[in-house]
Amino acid sequence: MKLAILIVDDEFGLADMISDLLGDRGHDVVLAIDGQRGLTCLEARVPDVVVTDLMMPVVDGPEMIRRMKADVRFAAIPVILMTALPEAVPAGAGHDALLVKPFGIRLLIETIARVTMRDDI
Amino acid sequence: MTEQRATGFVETGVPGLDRVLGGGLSRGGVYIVEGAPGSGKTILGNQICFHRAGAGDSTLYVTLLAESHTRMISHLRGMGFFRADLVRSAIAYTSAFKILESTGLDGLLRSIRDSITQREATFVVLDGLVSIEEFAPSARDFKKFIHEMQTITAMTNCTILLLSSTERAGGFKPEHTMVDGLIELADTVVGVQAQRSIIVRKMRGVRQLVGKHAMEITDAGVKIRPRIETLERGPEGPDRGDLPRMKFNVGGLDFMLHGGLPGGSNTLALGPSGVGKTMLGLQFIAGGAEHDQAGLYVGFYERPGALLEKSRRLGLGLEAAQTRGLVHLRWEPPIEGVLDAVVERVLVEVEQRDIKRLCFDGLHGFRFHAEYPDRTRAVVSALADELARRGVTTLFTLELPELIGSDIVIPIDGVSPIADNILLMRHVEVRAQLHRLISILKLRDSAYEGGIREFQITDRGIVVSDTFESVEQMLTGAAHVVPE
Repeated sequence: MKLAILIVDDEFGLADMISDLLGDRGHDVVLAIDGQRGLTCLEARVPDVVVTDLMMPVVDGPEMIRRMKADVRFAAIPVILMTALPEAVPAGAGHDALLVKPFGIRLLIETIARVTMRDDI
Repeated sequence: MTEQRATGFVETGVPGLDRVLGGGLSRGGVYIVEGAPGSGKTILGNQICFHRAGAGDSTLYVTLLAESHTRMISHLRGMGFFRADLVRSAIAYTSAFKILESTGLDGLLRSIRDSITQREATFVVLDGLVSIEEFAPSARDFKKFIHEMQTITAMTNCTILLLSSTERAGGFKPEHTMVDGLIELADTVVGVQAQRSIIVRKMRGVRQLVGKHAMEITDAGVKIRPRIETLERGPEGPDRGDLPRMKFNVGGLDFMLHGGLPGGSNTLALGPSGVGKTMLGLQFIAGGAEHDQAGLYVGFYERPGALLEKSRRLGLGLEAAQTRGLVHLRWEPPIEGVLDAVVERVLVEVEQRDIKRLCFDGLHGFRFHAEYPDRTRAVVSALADELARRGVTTLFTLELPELIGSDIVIPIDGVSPIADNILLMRHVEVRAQLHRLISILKLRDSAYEGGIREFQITDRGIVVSDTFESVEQMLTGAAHVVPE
């Protein structure tokens, strides 16, 4: 099943790699380098899942999720939060899954499958 | 030696750094920290960030380099200053490389300005100045970027550290003239010994401690060891004239000294290996304990256990005095180290334990810790001065290279003028017997007995006998009996 995936991360090396790996599996991947640009991408196309970093300039991950949840168009999109520092994730951030960096592509795929409830990705 | 602290400074929280900086960083200042890869720039920047965040500042750590935050945080986790609870709430880690790549210097400036404004950040680290220079279309654009950073700090009162690799060509760089301070970190090899150091090349408006200072990186983070000889002298201590004589509790020796060593003075005890310098030092400390004066023995070669055993054989009673808190034995292994670290440890112990007598046994041991042997004289001078200021009476021992002989060669140039008093201990052969002798070469501003006396090391400690009136040329070691 082909998914539309939005990846939001200011560390573009990691985002690029994830994008390539998911693209190789046939998914449509869009990249954004901060939460502000991530929200702009949502306006252009509503993805099946958002994978976002925690700390980013301008608008960080939790703020982007908060704005998504406040907008009925995006509130139902599952969100995976990535961070190297899980202790820094605020309570009630609104994410559906947490991935602690570094993580492997298999775990990412499994997590995407779980939050989108698709077992054929 | 007082910690200079002035208003308007931003404390870095890095031990010793504020002293070297002349007080700290200025609020609203822009500083460049330069160093080769591995010199400690990132740890230093993070450590200051955590300190500022802990003090209530909102801080921002912006990276422009290849190292990911994941990797950086995994390295930082093991450091003593790292506090997970401050990350994101008070320290925001962001990567701006893509912004720089896609929008250039103007876009990066806007992003930094927006982040500072949004987070109300008062301390920012920009890690990777070299990337900005690489992306700058011209040198003029790069200088303009630095200028714009200053404009941002002027508007926001935010302090900014720009971390820069010195991989690029060294020497004069135009940006150096534009910033408020320039801090250089180095990791060099002297002989086979690796040495980290810091030099504050420039600090606007304050008087930094110039020259090179040792820097250590441990699990606790960065620590700077300001060179003792550059530290500002503290207020004067007690007047030497008000201090009592410091007896060894060795009758003959105290008689030669007209009652003991002058209080607050420093004494150099010179002698070859095996003559009894360590015994003299222990006797000096034990003598103080009998007068309820706290004493500290610092040695490089013998561990405290061996010294206590020696003390038992001499009947000095050091163990009992140690139990009473009057005697403290410090062993500094003669291995590679930082000279200023040894000095600092000694001075801290002097302060904490209210030490009145100090024996520094084996000045040549300093050389193992000295980055440059030439520094030994300057360090001894500064240490002696600081101890005198604190009213501590100090006995330094120094080994002479010749066991027996006519030459007295002091192995560290320039230390004898530093000494207020000099005691000379020698071996001498008379009629196929080795004898130990002691004499006073110098006792500053005080009368003393100039005779040469024999001493013995007994189970009652050091015992000084009468002068050798019937023997000449004893100090040469080759004495001969005067015919009657």
